[in-house]
Amino acid sequence: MEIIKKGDGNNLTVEIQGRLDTVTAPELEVAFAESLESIENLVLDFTNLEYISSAGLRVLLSTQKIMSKQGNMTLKNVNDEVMDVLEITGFSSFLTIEW
Amino acid sequence: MNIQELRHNIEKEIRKYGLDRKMVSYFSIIVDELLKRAERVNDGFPGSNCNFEYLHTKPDFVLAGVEDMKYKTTAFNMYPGDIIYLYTDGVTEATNANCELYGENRLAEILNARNFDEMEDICTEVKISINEFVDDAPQFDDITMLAFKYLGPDGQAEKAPSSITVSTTTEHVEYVTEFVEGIMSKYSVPDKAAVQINIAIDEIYSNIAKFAYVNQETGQEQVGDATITVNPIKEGDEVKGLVLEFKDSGNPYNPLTNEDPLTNLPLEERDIGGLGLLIVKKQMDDVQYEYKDGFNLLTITKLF
Repeated sequence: MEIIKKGDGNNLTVEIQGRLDTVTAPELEVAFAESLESIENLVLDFTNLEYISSAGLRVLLSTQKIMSKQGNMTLKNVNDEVMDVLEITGFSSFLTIEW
Repeated sequence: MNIQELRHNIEKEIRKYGLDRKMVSYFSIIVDELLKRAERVNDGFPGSNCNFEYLHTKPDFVLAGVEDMKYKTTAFNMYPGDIIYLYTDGVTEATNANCELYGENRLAEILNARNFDEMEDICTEVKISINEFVDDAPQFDDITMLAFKYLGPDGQAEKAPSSITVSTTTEHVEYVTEFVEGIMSKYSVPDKAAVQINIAIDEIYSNIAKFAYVNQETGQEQVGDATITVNPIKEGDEVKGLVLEFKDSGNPYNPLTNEDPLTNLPLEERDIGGLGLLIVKKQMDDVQYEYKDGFNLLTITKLF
């Protein structure tokens, strides 16, 4: 998995490439812990996210909880496989997903 | 005796009988059945349907050609059912009346034409093919072949070798995924199903790694073994689905008795527990659990 961060003031875009699973999710958690302070608009670009497992959902959930307090979080370019997982787990009901 | 000592002794014999002016080809292997854990998956995947390919090792000098010549050893993985076929250049350089060589392509065609159970058949069929090709042309070089099949630790080569045993650290999920992906590409599993199977592996394996071998008195995480077996569901020659079995000898635990988590709670009340298995249950066509002979057996079926 690769994490590419692009920041500009209170805006941050994080592109996640590859697989967000048990092995890689902790890396994303660390990346967020380092960079969410004072961020109001967080965009997660899933263009090159191959798939996500519950380990990745855990990071999305905790990050959404943080961002709900300090601003907003948007998921962009979610592929069918990832969307399927978000729908099964009901995550699609509280996440902001932009098409 | 190690493999170098063995070679050295054979060289002495060759010199003793004055054979050292001949070109002696030599190949020796030690089949080490102890190395059967995760380490073994790193260079590819097994499969009885795989074609023969060249074993890329750098050849050394002919045996006993020069005193004190150094010979290298190397290591590679063999899976039950794997075959090593050795031949001298008299095979590929067998020449017909039109001065054409028999060649590697004709050889590969015979070797890959079918799955061989009897090693003798390989050598016989290659020899027949060479004879037909060469026809009346005289033979210039020796034609020597040896076929060797590794039958596996229990002597039973699996028809479709399909399982991997790993020690249950979290990171080893990557070995399992890589192994199963190898099998999936062999069976041309559709992308969507492959992704769903990968997710299922991640969910199930990570649960085994985290919980199966937890010491129930101290609560400490411990490492044990997990074996993942993959079998195709076939209709004729066509693969219609895959069955994956996850087997561990940890604490008996049936994950299917848990109720599905609520997926309609507001954000503040959402928790991650149980979501992994929910995904597996929704994306697979069947999920079964059984505790048998001291093993947890979780079996998932995905049809495509």
